[in-house]
Amino acid sequence: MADTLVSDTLAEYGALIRAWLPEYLPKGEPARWLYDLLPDYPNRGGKMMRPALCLAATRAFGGSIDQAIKSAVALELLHNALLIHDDIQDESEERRGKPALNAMLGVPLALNVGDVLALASLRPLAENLETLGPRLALAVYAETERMAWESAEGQALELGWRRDNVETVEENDYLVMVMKKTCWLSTIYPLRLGALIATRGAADLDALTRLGFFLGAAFQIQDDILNLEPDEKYGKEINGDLYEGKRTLMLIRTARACEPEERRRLFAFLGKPRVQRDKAEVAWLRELMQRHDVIAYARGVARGLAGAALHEWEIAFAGLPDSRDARFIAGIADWIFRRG
Amino acid sequence: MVHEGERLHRPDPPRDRPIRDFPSYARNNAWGPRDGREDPVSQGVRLGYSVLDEQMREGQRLAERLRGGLRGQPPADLGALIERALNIYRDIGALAFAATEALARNTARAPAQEPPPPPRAAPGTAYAFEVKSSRRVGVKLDLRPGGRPQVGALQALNGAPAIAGVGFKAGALQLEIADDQPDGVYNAVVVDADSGEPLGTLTVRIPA
Repeated sequence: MADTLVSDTLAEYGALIRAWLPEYLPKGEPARWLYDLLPDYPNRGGKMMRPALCLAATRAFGGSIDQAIKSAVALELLHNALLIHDDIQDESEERRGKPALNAMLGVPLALNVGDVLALASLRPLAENLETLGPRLALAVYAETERMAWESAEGQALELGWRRDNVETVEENDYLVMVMKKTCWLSTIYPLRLGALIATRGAADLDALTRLGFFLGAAFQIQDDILNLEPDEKYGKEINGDLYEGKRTLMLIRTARACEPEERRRLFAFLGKPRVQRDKAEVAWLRELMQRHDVIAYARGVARGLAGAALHEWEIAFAGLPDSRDARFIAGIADWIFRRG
Repeated sequence: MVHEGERLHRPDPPRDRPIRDFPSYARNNAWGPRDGREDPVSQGVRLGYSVLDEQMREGQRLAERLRGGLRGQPPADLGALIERALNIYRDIGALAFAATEALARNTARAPAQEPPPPPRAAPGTAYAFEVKSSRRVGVKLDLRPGGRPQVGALQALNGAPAIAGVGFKAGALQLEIADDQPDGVYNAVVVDADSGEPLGTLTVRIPA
């Protein structure tokens, strides 16, 4: 029942966002190297969780779709821009079941498409001036600016750990990185934005930061688990995180649990450039993880975080009328573990 | 060993009131390691709250830096906003600049497919405000037309008791504020009584 509510709401709000996206993705020349590529990632069938959370939070707090639609579209555009940049930074080969843009076109063109998608996300935010008035549009802009800083800091942490092969990353460091890199863009910002727009700043946004953190952290850990144990709908490269040397909760746990000799081998592997990490070494690392049962551990942590998210949801939505949108947001905590 | 006649009694609990603050409870008590081992669910929650606490403090500092005291002040100068946006463009670099120009040119020349129009507003309905209060209060009703408005208790941002004396009746918003109602901002969502769909928000400010 809750699953239907989540998937139905995602489908409904997703369709709305898809109908609006072309407004901000113009056609023109050079088509082959830029304009025709702009809709590529947005058209690959993402679940539109981020804009859906924004629209749902707006409605749950008493606002309307037309108040928030431009901010939600801007969010989806920026998300797709950052996906392109992520794929370049991670040297990823697949995205949503197809070759990543950098694998298709090379880094320079893919980077340019990502830049333009990020620029395109500014236009709907600027149009908020007309829709929401200067005070609220400026508050939305400030929220967006903060989210962008947080996301960039999180990305810097993750990339820095990998570049310098940092051996001292602990689980709390990982959660700080996840809060910045994933939670701000994916859950905290959409929820805060919706409540901000609906109440013109009269809602307790900190309560939504707490909810968004737990939802987003559970989401990221489950995403990392799916990379190692994919289901049939998983659209990324299997074990891609191991090839990329990503500091996931499972990897950090493995590094802590393994024998000194294994640890030396692990960090020697992580210190190599991606192209030198071969299948046999990845298979060894995967077996090491299996031996220390780190996937089951990560699954438990993710469930705990999702439970805390439900608790924070009760606080953040206390006093609001029961609504499909509020229940949708709570339903995400469980949907995280069922999505493909 | 217990001697005959000696009463067994439990040690006094360290708390003297019910625990209602789950985050502190999770942080400080039951979620800590037991005999050196902790199950993953508990560990996730404990770690999560400890990281969150620190990040919330850092976030407040960051927000203060970015917002520059935006909250509660008159709208910032739009010129400054535009200048900040331009700086972002400038930072991205010349290549992106060229792309932006092209984007603007192309959009002006060939507008993309029209997005779906926003929902059309139904003819408006006027509501009288009937406010019973011994103090001056600010009332803001942000209501979209259509539907039969219904509103629940107004909730405080600062944890003060809710204002229950509120409702729509006979074409009026009726509001009653008790003399001892703490000052602060109170908020409620207005919904359509028939469909439960949101219609708007009601905000009440009781100045100190």
